[in-house]
Amino acid sequence: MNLFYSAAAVLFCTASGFYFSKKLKEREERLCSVLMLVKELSVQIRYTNAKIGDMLKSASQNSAYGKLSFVTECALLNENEDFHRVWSEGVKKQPFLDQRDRELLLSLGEHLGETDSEGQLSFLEMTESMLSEQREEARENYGKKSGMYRSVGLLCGLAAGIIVL
Amino acid sequence: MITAKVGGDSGVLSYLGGIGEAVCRSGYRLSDIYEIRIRAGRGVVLETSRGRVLLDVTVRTEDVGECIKSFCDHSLHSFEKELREGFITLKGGHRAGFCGTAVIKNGKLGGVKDISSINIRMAREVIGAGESLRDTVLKEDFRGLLICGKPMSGKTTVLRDLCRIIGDRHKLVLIDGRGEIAAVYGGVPQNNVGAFTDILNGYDKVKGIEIATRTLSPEYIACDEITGFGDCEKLCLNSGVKMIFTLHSGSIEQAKNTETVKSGAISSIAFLGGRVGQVTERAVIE
Repeated sequence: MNLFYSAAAVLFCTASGFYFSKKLKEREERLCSVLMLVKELSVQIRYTNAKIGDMLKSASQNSAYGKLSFVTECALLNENEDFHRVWSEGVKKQPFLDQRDRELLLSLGEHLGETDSEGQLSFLEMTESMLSEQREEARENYGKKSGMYRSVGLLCGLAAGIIVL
Repeated sequence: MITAKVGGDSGVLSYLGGIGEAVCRSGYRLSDIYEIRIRAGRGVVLETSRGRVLLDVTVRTEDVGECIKSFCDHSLHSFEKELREGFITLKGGHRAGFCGTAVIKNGKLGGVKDISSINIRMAREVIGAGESLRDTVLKEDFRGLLICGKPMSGKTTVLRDLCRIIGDRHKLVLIDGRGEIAAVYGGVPQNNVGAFTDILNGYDKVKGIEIATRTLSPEYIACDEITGFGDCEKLCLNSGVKMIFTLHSGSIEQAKNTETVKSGAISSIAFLGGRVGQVTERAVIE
Protein backbone atom coordinates (compact mmCIF):
# COMPACT_ATOMS: atom_id res chain seq x y z
CA MET A 1 0.00 0.00 0.00
CA ASN A 2 2.84 2.36 0.94
CA LEU A 3 4.39 1.74 -2.45
CA PHE A 4 1.19 2.87 -4.10
CA TYR A 5 1.02 6.11 -2.04
CA SER A 6 4.67 6.73 -2.68
CA ALA A 7 4.20 6.37 -6.45
CA ALA A 8 1.15 8.65 -6.29
CA ALA A 9 3.15 11.32 -4.42
CA VAL A 10 5.96 11.13 -7.00
CA LEU A 11 3.48 11.40 -9.85
CA PHE A 12 1.50 14.26 -8.28
CA CYS A 13 4.54 16.39 -7.50
CA THR A 14 6.15 15.73 -10.87
CA ALA A 15 2.90 16.56 -12.69
CA SER A 16 2.59 19.78 -10.69
CA GLY A 17 6.13 20.74 -11.70
CA PHE A 18 5.33 20.04 -15.34
CA TYR A 19 2.06 21.98 -15.07
CA PHE A 20 3.79 25.12 -13.76
CA SER A 21 6.38 24.78 -16.48
CA LYS A 22 3.65 24.40 -19.13
CA LYS A 23 1.87 27.45 -17.72
CA LEU A 24 4.92 29.55 -18.49
CA LYS A 25 5.12 28.12 -21.99
CA GLU A 26 1.41 28.68 -22.62
CA ARG A 27 1.63 32.30 -21.48
CA GLU A 28 4.46 32.93 -23.89
CA GLU A 29 2.58 31.24 -26.75
CA ARG A 30 -0.59 33.21 -26.09
CA LEU A 31 1.30 36.48 -25.92
CA CYS A 32 2.92 35.55 -29.25
CA SER A 33 -0.55 34.97 -30.76
CA VAL A 34 -1.87 38.27 -29.37
CA LEU A 35 1.17 40.08 -30.74
CA MET A 36 0.55 38.54 -34.15
CA LEU A 37 -3.12 39.53 -33.94
CA VAL A 38 -2.22 43.13 -33.10
CA LYS A 39 0.16 43.25 -36.07
CA GLU A 40 -2.51 41.82 -38.36
CA LEU A 41 -5.08 44.33 -37.12
CA SER A 42 -2.62 47.14 -37.81
CA VAL A 43 -1.97 45.94 -41.34
CA GLN A 44 -5.67 45.51 -42.10
CA ILE A 45 -6.62 48.90 -40.67
CA ARG A 46 -3.78 50.55 -42.59
CA TYR A 47 -4.50 48.94 -45.95
CA THR A 48 -8.15 47.88 -46.01
CA ASN A 49 -9.84 49.94 -43.28
CA ALA A 50 -11.78 46.77 -42.51
CA LYS A 51 -14.32 46.70 -39.72
CA ILE A 52 -13.23 45.16 -36.41
CA GLY A 53 -15.95 42.50 -36.61
CA ASP A 54 -14.79 41.40 -40.06
CA MET A 55 -11.15 41.33 -38.98
CA LEU A 56 -11.96 39.22 -35.94
CA LYS A 57 -14.07 36.88 -38.08
CA SER A 58 -11.18 36.39 -40.46
CA ALA A 59 -8.73 35.94 -37.56
CA SER A 60 -10.96 33.32 -35.96
CA GLN A 61 -10.49 31.16 -39.03
CA ASN A 62 -6.73 31.27 -38.65
CA SER A 63 -5.44 28.37 -36.55
CA ALA A 64 -2.66 30.62 -35.22
CA TYR A 65 -5.26 32.32 -33.04
CA GLY A 66 -6.98 29.08 -32.02
CA LYS A 67 -5.92 29.49 -28.39
CA LEU A 68 -7.39 33.00 -28.13
CA SER A 69 -10.94 32.03 -27.30
CA PHE A 70 -12.12 35.66 -27.06
CA VAL A 71 -11.37 36.13 -30.77
CA THR A 72 -13.60 33.18 -31.66
CA GLU A 73 -16.34 34.41 -29.32
CA CYS A 74 -16.30 37.90 -30.87
CA ALA A 75 -16.40 36.37 -34.34
CA LEU A 76 -19.66 34.61 -33.48
CA LEU A 77 -21.47 37.91 -32.91
CA ASN A 78 -23.98 39.23 -35.38
CA GLU A 79 -23.33 42.31 -37.39
CA ASN A 80 -23.57 45.65 -35.54
CA GLU A 81 -23.53 43.82 -32.18
CA ASP A 82 -21.05 45.36 -29.77
CA PHE A 83 -18.00 43.11 -29.45
CA HIS A 84 -16.47 45.05 -26.54
CA ARG A 85 -18.43 43.22 -23.82
CA VAL A 86 -17.73 39.77 -25.30
CA TRP A 87 -14.06 40.64 -25.74
CA SER A 88 -13.73 41.76 -22.14
CA GLU A 89 -15.55 38.69 -20.75
CA GLY A 90 -13.47 36.41 -22.98
CA VAL A 91 -10.18 38.00 -21.89
CA LYS A 92 -11.10 37.58 -18.22
CA LYS A 93 -11.68 33.85 -18.83
CA GLN A 94 -8.52 33.39 -20.92
CA PRO A 95 -6.25 30.97 -19.04
CA PHE A 96 -2.47 31.20 -18.45
CA LEU A 97 -2.25 34.99 -18.77
CA ASP A 98 -1.24 37.10 -15.80
CA GLN A 99 -2.99 40.22 -14.54
CA ARG A 100 -0.85 42.64 -16.57
CA ASP A 101 -1.49 40.70 -19.78
CA ARG A 102 -5.22 40.78 -19.12
CA GLU A 103 -5.20 44.51 -18.41
CA LEU A 104 -3.38 45.15 -21.66
CA LEU A 105 -5.85 43.01 -23.60
CA LEU A 106 -8.84 44.65 -21.92
CA SER A 107 -7.51 48.07 -22.78
CA LEU A 108 -6.94 46.91 -26.37
CA GLY A 109 -10.54 45.69 -26.58
CA GLU A 110 -11.89 48.96 -25.16
CA HIS A 111 -10.08 51.06 -27.75
CA LEU A 112 -10.63 48.92 -30.85
CA GLY A 113 -12.90 50.68 -33.33
CA GLU A 114 -13.37 53.73 -31.11
CA THR A 115 -11.22 56.23 -33.01
CA ASP A 116 -10.19 57.14 -36.54
CA SER A 117 -7.57 55.00 -38.30
CA GLU A 118 -4.73 57.27 -37.21
CA GLY A 119 -5.79 56.82 -33.58
CA GLN A 120 -6.21 53.08 -34.04
CA LEU A 121 -2.76 52.67 -35.56
CA SER A 122 -1.08 54.70 -32.81
CA PHE A 123 -2.83 52.70 -30.14
CA LEU A 124 -2.00 49.37 -31.80
CA GLU A 125 1.62 50.43 -32.11
CA MET A 126 1.79 51.24 -28.41
CA THR A 127 0.06 47.95 -27.51
CA GLU A 128 2.45 46.05 -29.77
CA SER A 129 5.47 47.51 -28.04
CA MET A 130 4.10 46.72 -24.56
CA LEU A 131 3.14 43.21 -25.65
CA SER A 132 6.61 42.64 -27.06
CA GLU A 133 8.11 43.50 -23.69
CA GLN A 134 5.73 41.19 -21.87
CA ARG A 135 6.32 38.37 -24.33
CA GLU A 136 10.08 38.81 -23.92
CA GLU A 137 9.66 38.62 -20.19
CA ALA A 138 7.48 35.51 -20.56
CA ARG A 139 10.12 33.94 -22.78
CA GLU A 140 12.87 34.68 -20.23
CA ASN A 141 10.71 33.33 -17.43
CA TYR A 142 10.13 30.14 -19.34
CA GLY A 143 13.84 29.78 -20.11
CA LYS A 144 14.83 30.39 -16.51
CA LYS A 145 12.09 28.72 -14.55
CA SER A 146 10.59 25.90 -16.58
CA GLY A 147 13.48 23.50 -15.98
CA MET A 148 13.53 24.46 -12.34
CA TYR A 149 9.80 23.78 -11.90
CA ARG A 150 10.12 20.35 -13.51
CA SER A 151 13.20 19.43 -11.44
CA VAL A 152 11.74 20.74 -8.19
CA GLY A 153 8.51 18.87 -8.91
CA LEU A 154 10.36 15.64 -9.57
CA LEU A 155 12.65 16.06 -6.56
CA CYS A 156 9.78 16.95 -4.25
CA GLY A 157 7.91 13.94 -5.58
CA LEU A 158 10.85 11.67 -4.93
CA ALA A 159 11.32 13.11 -1.45
CA ALA A 160 7.64 12.71 -0.66
CA GLY A 161 7.76 9.17 -2.07
CA ILE A 162 10.73 8.26 0.16
CA ILE A 163 9.05 9.76 3.24
CA VAL A 164 5.88 7.81 2.53
CA LEU A 165 7.88 4.58 2.11
CA MET B 1 -48.38 48.39 -60.90
CA ILE B 2 -46.41 50.28 -58.27
CA THR B 3 -45.30 48.38 -55.18
CA ALA B 4 -43.20 49.79 -52.36
CA LYS B 5 -40.81 47.92 -50.12
CA VAL B 6 -38.70 49.33 -47.30
CA GLY B 7 -35.08 48.29 -47.77
CA GLY B 8 -33.45 45.84 -45.38
CA ASP B 9 -36.67 44.92 -43.45
CA SER B 10 -36.71 45.97 -39.80
CA GLY B 11 -32.92 45.70 -39.46
CA VAL B 12 -32.60 49.46 -39.27
CA LEU B 13 -34.18 49.47 -35.80
CA SER B 14 -31.55 47.08 -34.50
CA TYR B 15 -29.02 49.92 -34.84
CA LEU B 16 -31.02 52.09 -32.48
CA GLY B 17 -31.20 49.97 -29.32
CA GLY B 18 -33.81 51.35 -26.91
CA ILE B 19 -34.88 54.02 -29.40
CA GLY B 20 -35.64 51.26 -31.91
CA GLU B 21 -37.83 49.56 -29.32
CA ALA B 22 -39.71 52.84 -28.77
CA VAL B 23 -40.28 53.11 -32.52
CA CYS B 24 -41.61 49.52 -32.53
CA ARG B 25 -43.94 50.34 -29.64
CA SER B 26 -45.29 53.39 -31.48
CA GLY B 27 -47.34 51.02 -33.60
CA TYR B 28 -46.20 52.51 -36.91
CA ARG B 29 -45.02 50.08 -39.54
CA LEU B 30 -41.65 50.80 -41.14
CA SER B 31 -43.33 51.12 -44.50
CA ASP B 32 -45.29 54.09 -43.08
CA ILE B 33 -42.21 55.85 -41.71
CA TYR B 34 -40.23 58.19 -43.99
CA GLU B 35 -37.80 59.56 -41.44
CA ILE B 36 -36.72 58.94 -37.87
CA ARG B 37 -35.25 62.02 -36.17
CA ILE B 38 -33.27 61.55 -32.99
CA ARG B 39 -32.14 64.62 -31.03
CA ALA B 40 -30.02 64.53 -27.88
CA GLY B 41 -31.83 65.91 -24.85
CA ARG B 42 -35.09 65.87 -26.71
CA GLY B 43 -37.45 63.28 -28.12
CA VAL B 44 -37.68 61.09 -31.18
CA VAL B 45 -39.79 62.30 -34.07
CA LEU B 46 -41.20 60.07 -36.79
CA GLU B 47 -42.16 61.55 -40.13
CA THR B 48 -44.87 59.20 -41.30
CA SER B 49 -47.41 58.89 -44.06
CA ARG B 50 -49.94 60.09 -41.46
CA GLY B 51 -47.92 63.12 -40.37
CA ARG B 52 -45.37 63.95 -37.71
CA VAL B 53 -45.34 61.91 -34.51
CA LEU B 54 -43.39 62.74 -31.35
CA LEU B 55 -42.49 59.64 -29.36
CA ASP B 56 -42.56 59.76 -25.59
CA VAL B 57 -38.88 59.00 -25.10
CA THR B 58 -36.02 61.27 -24.06
CA VAL B 59 -32.77 60.73 -25.89
CA ARG B 60 -29.55 61.03 -23.91
CA THR B 61 -26.30 62.21 -25.52
CA GLU B 62 -24.84 58.73 -24.89
CA ASP B 63 -27.74 57.17 -26.83
CA VAL B 64 -26.83 59.27 -29.86
CA GLY B 65 -23.17 58.22 -29.52
CA GLU B 66 -24.16 54.57 -29.23
CA CYS B 67 -26.32 54.86 -32.36
CA ILE B 68 -23.39 56.30 -34.32
CA LYS B 69 -21.08 53.50 -33.13
CA SER B 70 -23.71 50.96 -34.05
CA PHE B 71 -24.13 52.52 -37.55
CA CYS B 72 -20.36 52.11 -37.94
CA ASP B 73 -20.44 48.48 -36.73
CA HIS B 74 -18.30 49.67 -33.78
CA SER B 75 -15.49 50.49 -36.20
CA LEU B 76 -15.35 54.26 -36.51
CA HIS B 77 -12.07 54.09 -38.44
CA SER B 78 -13.84 52.28 -41.30
CA PHE B 79 -16.30 55.15 -41.74
CA GLU B 80 -14.00 58.17 -41.59
CA LYS B 81 -15.05 59.46 -45.00
CA GLU B 82 -18.74 59.08 -44.15
CA LEU B 83 -18.32 60.68 -40.73
CA ARG B 84 -16.56 63.60 -42.41
CA GLU B 85 -19.31 63.95 -44.97
CA GLY B 86 -22.03 63.84 -42.33
CA PHE B 87 -23.91 60.71 -43.31
CA ILE B 88 -23.67 56.94 -43.17
CA THR B 89 -25.52 54.54 -45.44
CA LEU B 90 -26.97 51.69 -43.43
CA LYS B 91 -27.77 48.14 -44.42
CA GLY B 92 -30.85 48.33 -46.61
CA GLY B 93 -29.80 51.64 -48.16
CA HIS B 94 -31.22 53.83 -45.38
CA ARG B 95 -29.27 57.03 -44.91
CA ALA B 96 -28.38 58.34 -41.46
CA GLY B 97 -27.37 61.99 -41.55
CA PHE B 98 -26.11 63.68 -38.44
CA CYS B 99 -25.37 67.09 -36.96
CA GLY B 100 -22.61 67.96 -34.53
CA THR B 101 -19.62 70.20 -34.05
CA ALA B 102 -17.19 70.46 -36.94
CA VAL B 103 -13.60 69.36 -36.37
CA ILE B 104 -11.34 71.42 -38.59
CA LYS B 105 -7.97 69.98 -39.62
CA ASN B 106 -5.61 72.01 -41.78
CA GLY B 107 -8.41 74.40 -42.63
CA LYS B 108 -10.70 71.61 -43.88
CA LEU B 109 -13.54 69.69 -42.31
CA GLY B 110 -11.77 66.76 -40.69
CA GLY B 111 -14.71 65.19 -38.92
CA VAL B 112 -17.63 65.76 -36.61
CA LYS B 113 -17.67 65.55 -32.82
CA ASP B 114 -20.37 65.90 -30.14
CA ILE B 115 -23.04 64.56 -32.45
CA SER B 116 -26.33 66.03 -31.30
CA SER B 117 -28.90 64.75 -33.74
CA ILE B 118 -29.47 62.02 -36.28
CA ASN B 119 -31.93 61.85 -39.13
CA ILE B 120 -32.56 58.44 -40.65
CA ARG B 121 -34.17 58.55 -44.07
CA MET B 122 -35.79 55.25 -44.83
CA ALA B 123 -34.87 53.87 -48.24
CA ARG B 124 -37.74 52.70 -50.37
CA GLU B 125 -37.65 50.47 -53.37
CA VAL B 126 -40.75 51.39 -55.36
CA ILE B 127 -41.11 48.99 -58.24
CA GLY B 128 -42.85 50.81 -61.07
CA ALA B 129 -41.87 54.34 -59.98
CA GLY B 130 -39.88 54.83 -63.17
CA GLU B 131 -42.42 53.35 -65.60
CA SER B 132 -43.57 56.79 -66.79
CA LEU B 133 -40.03 57.44 -68.07
CA ARG B 134 -39.49 53.99 -69.61
CA ASP B 135 -40.23 55.08 -73.20
CA THR B 136 -38.07 58.18 -72.84
CA VAL B 137 -34.94 56.32 -71.76
CA LEU B 138 -35.32 53.39 -74.14
CA LYS B 139 -35.81 55.57 -77.26
CA GLU B 140 -33.20 55.19 -80.01
CA ASP B 141 -32.21 58.87 -80.07
CA PHE B 142 -32.06 59.21 -76.27
CA ARG B 143 -28.88 60.94 -75.05
CA GLY B 144 -29.48 61.67 -71.43
CA LEU B 145 -32.15 62.25 -68.80
CA LEU B 146 -32.04 64.66 -65.91
CA ILE B 147 -34.51 63.84 -63.15
CA CYS B 148 -34.96 66.92 -61.02
CA GLY B 149 -37.10 67.97 -58.10
CA LYS B 150 -37.06 69.31 -54.59
CA PRO B 151 -35.70 67.28 -51.65
CA MET B 152 -37.96 64.30 -50.79
CA SER B 153 -39.64 64.42 -54.22
CA GLY B 154 -38.59 60.85 -55.01
CA LYS B 155 -35.67 61.41 -57.41
CA THR B 156 -33.59 58.56 -56.03
CA THR B 157 -36.61 56.24 -55.98
CA VAL B 158 -37.33 56.95 -59.64
CA LEU B 159 -33.67 56.59 -60.57
CA ARG B 160 -33.48 53.24 -58.79
CA ASP B 161 -36.48 51.92 -60.69
CA LEU B 162 -35.15 53.25 -63.99
CA CYS B 163 -31.93 51.32 -63.30
CA ARG B 164 -34.03 48.18 -62.92
CA ILE B 165 -35.92 48.87 -66.16
CA ILE B 166 -32.80 49.69 -68.21
CA GLY B 167 -30.48 47.25 -66.45
CA ASP B 168 -32.69 44.30 -67.37
CA ARG B 169 -32.06 45.02 -71.08
CA HIS B 170 -28.88 47.04 -71.45
CA LYS B 171 -25.41 47.32 -69.96
CA LEU B 172 -25.77 49.96 -67.26
CA VAL B 173 -23.16 51.26 -64.87
CA LEU B 174 -24.60 52.71 -61.70
CA ILE B 175 -22.34 55.05 -59.76
CA ASP B 176 -23.73 54.70 -56.28
CA GLY B 177 -21.66 57.23 -54.37
CA ARG B 178 -23.72 57.01 -51.20
CA GLY B 179 -24.73 53.37 -51.49
CA GLU B 180 -28.43 54.15 -51.25
CA ILE B 181 -29.57 53.21 -54.75
CA ALA B 182 -28.43 49.61 -55.01
CA ALA B 183 -27.78 49.25 -51.24
CA VAL B 184 -24.83 46.94 -51.90
CA TYR B 185 -24.09 44.78 -48.90
CA GLY B 186 -21.23 42.29 -48.96
CA GLY B 187 -20.90 42.91 -52.70
CA VAL B 188 -24.55 42.03 -53.44
CA PRO B 189 -27.12 44.71 -54.30
CA GLN B 190 -30.12 44.44 -52.01
CA ASN B 191 -32.36 46.43 -54.30
CA ASN B 192 -33.30 45.29 -57.76
CA VAL B 193 -31.26 47.50 -60.08
CA GLY B 194 -31.29 45.22 -63.12
CA ALA B 195 -29.60 42.02 -64.19
CA PHE B 196 -27.01 43.71 -66.42
CA THR B 197 -26.12 46.52 -64.07
CA ASP B 198 -22.59 46.98 -62.76
CA ILE B 199 -22.30 49.05 -59.62
CA LEU B 200 -19.45 51.34 -58.67
CA ASN B 201 -20.25 51.57 -55.00
CA GLY B 202 -18.95 54.45 -52.90
CA TYR B 203 -17.10 55.99 -55.86
CA ASP B 204 -16.71 59.68 -56.33
CA LYS B 205 -19.06 60.57 -59.22
CA VAL B 206 -16.46 62.16 -61.48
CA LYS B 207 -13.98 59.33 -60.99
CA GLY B 208 -16.77 56.77 -61.35
CA ILE B 209 -17.92 58.17 -64.68
CA GLU B 210 -14.33 58.18 -65.89
CA ILE B 211 -13.75 54.56 -64.86
CA ALA B 212 -17.10 53.44 -66.27
CA THR B 213 -16.60 54.98 -69.70
CA ARG B 214 -12.99 53.88 -69.99
CA THR B 215 -13.19 50.34 -68.67
CA LEU B 216 -16.74 49.00 -68.38
CA SER B 217 -18.14 49.80 -71.86
CA PRO B 218 -21.60 50.77 -70.64
CA GLU B 219 -24.55 51.74 -72.81
CA TYR B 220 -25.97 53.78 -69.93
CA ILE B 221 -24.52 55.47 -66.87
CA ALA B 222 -26.74 56.36 -63.92
CA CYS B 223 -25.70 58.64 -61.11
CA ASP B 224 -27.49 60.37 -58.24
CA GLU B 225 -27.26 64.03 -57.25
CA ILE B 226 -24.92 65.64 -59.71
CA THR B 227 -23.63 69.16 -59.29
CA GLY B 228 -22.00 69.75 -62.70
CA PHE B 229 -18.99 67.76 -63.90
CA GLY B 230 -17.70 69.63 -66.95
CA ASP B 231 -15.39 67.22 -68.74
CA CYS B 232 -17.23 64.11 -67.59
CA GLU B 233 -20.44 64.84 -69.47
CA LYS B 234 -18.29 65.43 -72.54
CA LEU B 235 -16.53 62.12 -71.96
CA CYS B 236 -19.90 60.32 -71.87
CA LEU B 237 -21.22 62.30 -74.80
CA ASN B 238 -18.19 61.63 -76.97
CA SER B 239 -18.22 57.94 -76.17
CA GLY B 240 -21.92 57.62 -76.99
CA VAL B 241 -22.89 56.60 -73.45
CA LYS B 242 -26.40 57.58 -72.39
CA MET B 243 -26.71 59.25 -69.03
CA ILE B 244 -29.33 59.40 -66.33
CA PHE B 245 -28.72 61.84 -63.51
CA THR B 246 -30.73 63.36 -60.69
CA LEU B 247 -30.44 66.95 -59.52
CA HIS B 248 -31.86 69.03 -56.69
CA SER B 249 -33.80 71.76 -58.40
CA GLY B 250 -36.77 73.95 -57.59
CA SER B 251 -38.04 74.11 -61.16
CA ILE B 252 -37.39 72.79 -64.63
CA GLU B 253 -36.09 76.23 -65.64
CA GLN B 254 -33.39 76.09 -62.98
CA ALA B 255 -32.38 72.66 -64.24
CA LYS B 256 -32.05 73.96 -67.80
CA ASN B 257 -29.43 76.45 -66.65
CA THR B 258 -27.08 73.82 -65.26
CA GLU B 259 -23.75 72.98 -66.87
CA THR B 260 -24.89 69.41 -67.39
CA VAL B 261 -27.81 70.44 -69.60
CA LYS B 262 -25.74 73.08 -71.38
CA SER B 263 -23.09 70.48 -72.22
CA GLY B 264 -25.53 68.86 -74.64
CA ALA B 265 -25.43 65.52 -72.84
CA ILE B 266 -29.07 65.72 -71.79
CA SER B 267 -31.97 65.21 -74.19
CA SER B 268 -34.82 65.14 -71.63
CA ILE B 269 -35.60 66.68 -68.28
CA ALA B 270 -38.27 65.30 -65.96
CA PHE B 271 -39.43 67.36 -63.01
CA LEU B 272 -40.93 65.54 -60.05
CA GLY B 273 -43.63 67.21 -58.02
CA GLY B 274 -46.96 66.38 -56.43
CA ARG B 275 -46.87 62.97 -54.81
CA VAL B 276 -43.53 61.23 -54.37
CA GLY B 277 -42.01 60.14 -57.68
CA GLN B 278 -44.69 61.71 -59.88
CA VAL B 279 -43.42 63.41 -63.05
CA THR B 280 -45.29 66.69 -63.31
CA GLU B 281 -43.33 68.46 -66.00
CA ARG B 282 -41.08 67.41 -68.88
CA ALA B 283 -38.79 69.20 -71.28
CA VAL B 284 -37.04 67.99 -74.40
CA ILE B 285 -33.64 69.50 -75.10
CA GLU B 286 -32.66 69.63 -78.75
